[in-house]
Amino acid sequence: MKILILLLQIIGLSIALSNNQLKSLVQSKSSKLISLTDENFESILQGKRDYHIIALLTSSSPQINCVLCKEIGPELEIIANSWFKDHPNGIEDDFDLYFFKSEFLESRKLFGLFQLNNIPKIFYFPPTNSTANRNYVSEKVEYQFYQGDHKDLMIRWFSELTGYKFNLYIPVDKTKLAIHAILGFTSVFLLKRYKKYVFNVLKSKNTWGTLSLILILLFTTGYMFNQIRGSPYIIEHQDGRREFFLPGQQTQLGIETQIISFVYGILSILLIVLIKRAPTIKTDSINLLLVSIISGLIFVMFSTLLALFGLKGLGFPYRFIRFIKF
Amino acid sequence: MSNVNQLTIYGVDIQLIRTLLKIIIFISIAGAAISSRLFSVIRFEAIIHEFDPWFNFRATKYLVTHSYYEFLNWFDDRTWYPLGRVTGGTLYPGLMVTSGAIWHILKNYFKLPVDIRNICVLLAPAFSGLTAIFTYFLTKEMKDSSAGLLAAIFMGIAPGYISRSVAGSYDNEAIAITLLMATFYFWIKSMKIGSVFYATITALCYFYMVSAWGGYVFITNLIPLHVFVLLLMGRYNPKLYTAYTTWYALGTLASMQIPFVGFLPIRSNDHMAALGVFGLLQLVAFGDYVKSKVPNKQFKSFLIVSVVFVFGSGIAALFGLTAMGWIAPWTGRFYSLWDTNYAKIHIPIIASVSEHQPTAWPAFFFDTSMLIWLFPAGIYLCFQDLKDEHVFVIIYSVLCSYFAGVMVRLMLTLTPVICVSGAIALSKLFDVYLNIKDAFHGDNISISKVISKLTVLLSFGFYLFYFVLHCTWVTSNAYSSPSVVLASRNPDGSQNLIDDYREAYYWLRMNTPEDAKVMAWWDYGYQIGGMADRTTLVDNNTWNNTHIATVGKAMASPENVSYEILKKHDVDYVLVIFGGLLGYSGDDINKFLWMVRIAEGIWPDEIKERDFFTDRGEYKMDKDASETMKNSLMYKLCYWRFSELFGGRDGVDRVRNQQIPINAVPELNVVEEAFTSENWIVRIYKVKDLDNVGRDLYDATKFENKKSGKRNRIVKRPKIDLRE
Amino acid sequence: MIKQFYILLNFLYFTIIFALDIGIEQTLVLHDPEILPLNDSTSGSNFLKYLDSNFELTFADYNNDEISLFYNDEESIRFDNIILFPSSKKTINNKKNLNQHNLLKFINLKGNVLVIGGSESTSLPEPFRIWLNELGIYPAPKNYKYIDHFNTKLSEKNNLIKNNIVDSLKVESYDGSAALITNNELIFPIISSSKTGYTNKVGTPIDQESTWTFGTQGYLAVAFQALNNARVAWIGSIDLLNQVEIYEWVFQKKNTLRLQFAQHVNNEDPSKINPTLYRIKDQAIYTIGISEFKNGQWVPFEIGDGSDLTPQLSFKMLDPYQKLNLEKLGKVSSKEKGDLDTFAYFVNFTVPDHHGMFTFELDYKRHGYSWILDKKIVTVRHLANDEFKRSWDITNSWLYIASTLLVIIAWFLFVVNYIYVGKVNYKKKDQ
Repeated sequence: MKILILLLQIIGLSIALSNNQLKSLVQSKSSKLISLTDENFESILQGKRDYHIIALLTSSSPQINCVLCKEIGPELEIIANSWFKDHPNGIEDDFDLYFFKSEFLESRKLFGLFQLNNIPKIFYFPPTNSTANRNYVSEKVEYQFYQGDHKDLMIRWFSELTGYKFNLYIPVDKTKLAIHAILGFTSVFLLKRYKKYVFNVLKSKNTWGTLSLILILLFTTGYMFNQIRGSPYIIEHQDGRREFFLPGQQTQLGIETQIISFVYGILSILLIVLIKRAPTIKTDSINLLLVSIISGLIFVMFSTLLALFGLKGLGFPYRFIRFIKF
Repeated sequence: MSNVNQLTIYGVDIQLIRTLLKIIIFISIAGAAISSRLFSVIRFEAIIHEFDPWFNFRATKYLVTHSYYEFLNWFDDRTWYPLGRVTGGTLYPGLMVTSGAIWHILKNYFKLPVDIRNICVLLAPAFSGLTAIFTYFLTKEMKDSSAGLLAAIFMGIAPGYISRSVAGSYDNEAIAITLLMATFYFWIKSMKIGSVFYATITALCYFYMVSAWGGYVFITNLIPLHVFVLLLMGRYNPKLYTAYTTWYALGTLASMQIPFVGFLPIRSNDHMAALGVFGLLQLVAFGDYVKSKVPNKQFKSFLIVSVVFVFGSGIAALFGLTAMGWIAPWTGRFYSLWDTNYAKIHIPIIASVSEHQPTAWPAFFFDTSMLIWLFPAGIYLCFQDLKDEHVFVIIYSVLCSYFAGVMVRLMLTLTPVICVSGAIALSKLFDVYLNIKDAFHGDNISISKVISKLTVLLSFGFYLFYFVLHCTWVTSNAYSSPSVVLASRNPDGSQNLIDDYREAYYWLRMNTPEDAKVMAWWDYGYQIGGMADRTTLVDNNTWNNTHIATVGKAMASPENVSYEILKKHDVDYVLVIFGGLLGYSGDDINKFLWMVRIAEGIWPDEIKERDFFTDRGEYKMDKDASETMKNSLMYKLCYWRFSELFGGRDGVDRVRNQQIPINAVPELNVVEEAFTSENWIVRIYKVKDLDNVGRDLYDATKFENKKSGKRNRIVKRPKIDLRE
Repeated sequence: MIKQFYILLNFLYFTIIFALDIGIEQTLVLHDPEILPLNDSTSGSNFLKYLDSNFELTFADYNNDEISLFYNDEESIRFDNIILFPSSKKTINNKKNLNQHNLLKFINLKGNVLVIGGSESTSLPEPFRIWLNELGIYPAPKNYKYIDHFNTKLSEKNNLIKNNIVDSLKVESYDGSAALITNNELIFPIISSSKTGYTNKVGTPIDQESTWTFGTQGYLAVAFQALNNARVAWIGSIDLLNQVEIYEWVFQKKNTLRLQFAQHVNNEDPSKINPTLYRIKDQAIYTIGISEFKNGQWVPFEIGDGSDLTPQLSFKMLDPYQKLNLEKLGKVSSKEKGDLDTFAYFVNFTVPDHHGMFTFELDYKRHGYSWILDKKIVTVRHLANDEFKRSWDITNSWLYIASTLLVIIAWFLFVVNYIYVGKVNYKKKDQ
């Protein structure tokens, strides 16, 4: 095994791709953000390089749930595509520039080599004459993420490093356009066809009532907070432990909105049943049963709510039921 | 009616008893509302809280010591040095005028010369009582007086409203919420009965509201939206027309009398909805008239053509006028409400304010307790009835839920509708289960009925009791700190007051010349103006971004660059807030990145945010701190002589939990320490004069620090910048 | 002219009481008795006579431990002037009192210093050198000498720099050293080396490292005036004491100016001096009075027309909005019923259309004369709500007024028509 690795490394030293090989590889792909995997990274990074490399190390896996990764990926792709739109045949008198994207699941070895603890990372590898083993590990330059327009910040960084000028061509998303067109067309068509029905739905009190109530429940349970802050849905620890609630009044997870809106909704429905439904039951015993059950449920739900609120750790002293461990 | 009048108990007219009871209840509610807002006065003293209230207080003092005319044309030369601020024209005078009027009335008619400070401190609690009463009337319009009473008590003690109206929180919102409720009540009243009289009162309340708070735009949009939705629902009637046109015409004209508002109502897009609905209403009224005169079929084509025409020309006009610059584009704050990323990218100064952060769910529960789940039920019940006034509540609640979700401070406007809606739900419940008649079948008492009623009543009675506990706890723990004085607990549980702010401001007041200019980050501008009475460069009225960025630049730059800025602005003292010794996290180092960002917005070539981070992208103050950070004036002012406190060991910054190395003592060249408060929270530095013999201050300091015993003989030709 | 009358009127109740300090000035002369026994008649003899007749002199050698520059409070100076003669020693005994820090403090407390550089075998003691270096003057060290093989005599053409102190060169032969100076703007050279002069260690060849000055970078006489108007002059040789103006200047007997008053009034209300509040577009009148000290008394300081000595006013808020040359007004008196000892200048200008805190700044810095700096901060406010043009004055409003009138007339006509014209018709029909 060891010998094999050694052998691979020796081979690796000699197999750095030439600029032309890379160029043709890029030209053949539609997305100019080439994927970098455990199979090909040695051949691209190792040894002498007569080209600039910008590599994004990222993951789109839902388990990792990296919000920034999802934001960065498409933006870097736009930059890469714009770059090759300007320079379809590379730069004549200077080093070429290539963009790579490495997905964690496909390149665990690479990630391990760089000893990464967090993603995303953007590395820049300058052209080099060094042939040292794993020279790329020491030669990398890391990009710092800052708040702001990522495309803009990245381009500034790239041009600082390479000295090239970047233009941006933000593509018009054709599929999106088509989908919108089709959607628009079909909706107009359906509207025309089922005019009466649609009109009835639009006029219906229930439609609007449901809509309003759902909106209110979402808004009052921090839905907008999730939208603006992009808070993760749930936190999964490495040992498989899951966290549903983050302590603190000014933080929350995506799932909290769902849980709490559910609790609010149930409480409201129970109350409405108490007000609207229960009095209509004329049989006294059934009435009593219903009212008792609902009152009990309200009590339990409200206790749950208080317990959940207590989890946020504000020193809140009130509980109806002491749930030992929720 | 006559039957009811005859009902008597012990010979007393039952109506009279009812009125009497109501009055007693109102007095109790007002008492509860006011007393729960007095925690801070009892614990600390009658002191103005936070930041903005200090400006309001200062303006009020100006008003009562000068004439109204002078107040209206007040040019404030104590802030925004050297630009000054056209204060009279850029504030909402309602609050100051209100307390000024109360002060004059007490003095002139009751012969009670009350200190204006006490009026200012207690104004908000006093108005909260009024708010409760108006909430009662509003809810009464929605359902009945029992719901009204419930809503009133909810409004009285709901923490969401208390947060902005405790004693000492002398802010615009203190009276604005009262006026909001009053305006809405009169609007509902006038819309219901189509009364010009009530519509006029609505307009007057609206005018008062405009004079008191920038949030009046909420009314300006909500009422037209209500009318618009009613029109869509086909509920047009002449009453609506009367109410709306009266309100709009009078209200708009009146609002334009406030100098700060001026021509906004006909220029700014924020107000266009009201104008649009006004126009639409004319058209609908006209259409209604035509409809009554012409046959149905012709009317339909008339309707289609006119709707298309009006809609098209309306939109074209809006775009055209905006493009031509005739009407102002939406303000940045407005954008930040809709496009939630807008502020983050475009306006760091808005994003930097914590009040503009989105709200997580605990805040909602914290501020309204169980009302938050009664709220949807109440809205559902409104949908069941769906009278015109219920439409109003529904629109209000959906819109405000959104706004409150986007911006923490708009919780304030959501709270009233939560109270109203919760009260509707709860009173409906009580209507059903307090009705004892149900339990009687002829002469028999149905035990199970009684039990079921008791179950519900007792459990909800308990919840209400809990609600009071919750509100009191929240008010007492979260909303009663003046934030000027910080309270902490000693290990033995006794209270320890940290009074550094006042100590430092008082030092400024007593030890610096009256015309001294103090530079500090804008958060402290109002307090310096109010408590220290010294001229500031920037303050919480963030009207000039460039000037704020200048201060940011001075703080973020190396000393020599800062010195030029300081000298150009005639700065005598620099004040920084440093929490590192005590662990007070709201200090300037934690706000520093905002200073950097805002400065970078204006001088991207000179200030770069990334330079303030370590190579690994961390925000550090310890030995790893970046050179730019260590050289920045802010760093030096905060950590100057800091590690000396630790007796030869590294200093520990307790906010950031970082070690400040003993050998990395910053050197100060262009300023000298003038004052540091007891717990080091406030540090004040005096800006040095130009060197008398023309050296730069770095050389001067170096010369000063060199021991005179040490000789350096110059026999070699000096390597200096020579004059040729 | 009415304005000017007002200004003159103002002087009548201008009440700064100013009494000239007649007390005899104290002067300390530090010297090295081995080199310069100050009782023999060297080239400084006229100088000594001058000193004797003008000051109360304290002679001391550099090692005298009794000499202290300050009174015990350390806040006021014992001497008005110090004269430093060259010494043969580099160190001195009285380091406690005579060190660079105390000398700097001496200037900061408005003391004047005349430094006389030495010839080859003498120089200044170390603390004084360091102190001079702080000011930006670097005299050549001991054993250095200023040499010029081509122009052996000083000449006005080669050596005199245009300045406001010395207008003619009275010295020809020069035996002394030269100094380098920095770009400190408070320094202004008087006599420079010629293009062919250099300062070198005696007996060594010219060398990039050790040669002190080359050509015109060396200076033989340099004046320095601190921001508080303390004056210092360094002259490279005792020979230059023949240039009387230099030491008169140092001792504040020449080119000493005083700002007797600076005031501004609003043209609308000239009786109120130095108002703190202006309104935009107001007319402001700014007046100053400057006196010059000549022959023991203050006399008007009058400047020729178009001279670059003309004082300027800047009216600024961050940047100058106005920068104006002051005009001559005439001789006035600084005291009530006093002599005409002051020359007044004034300027009349419109306050810019911009509100804010503005500064009337008179920053008079002419090399050779005392600096004059005066700042007065005023507030310029915006128009009050009732100070704008109203109704008819606004041309734009005519359209609206006209249309209002038109509507009124139309309505009136309509009513008339409706009530009378219509009725007649009905009646006619009925009939």
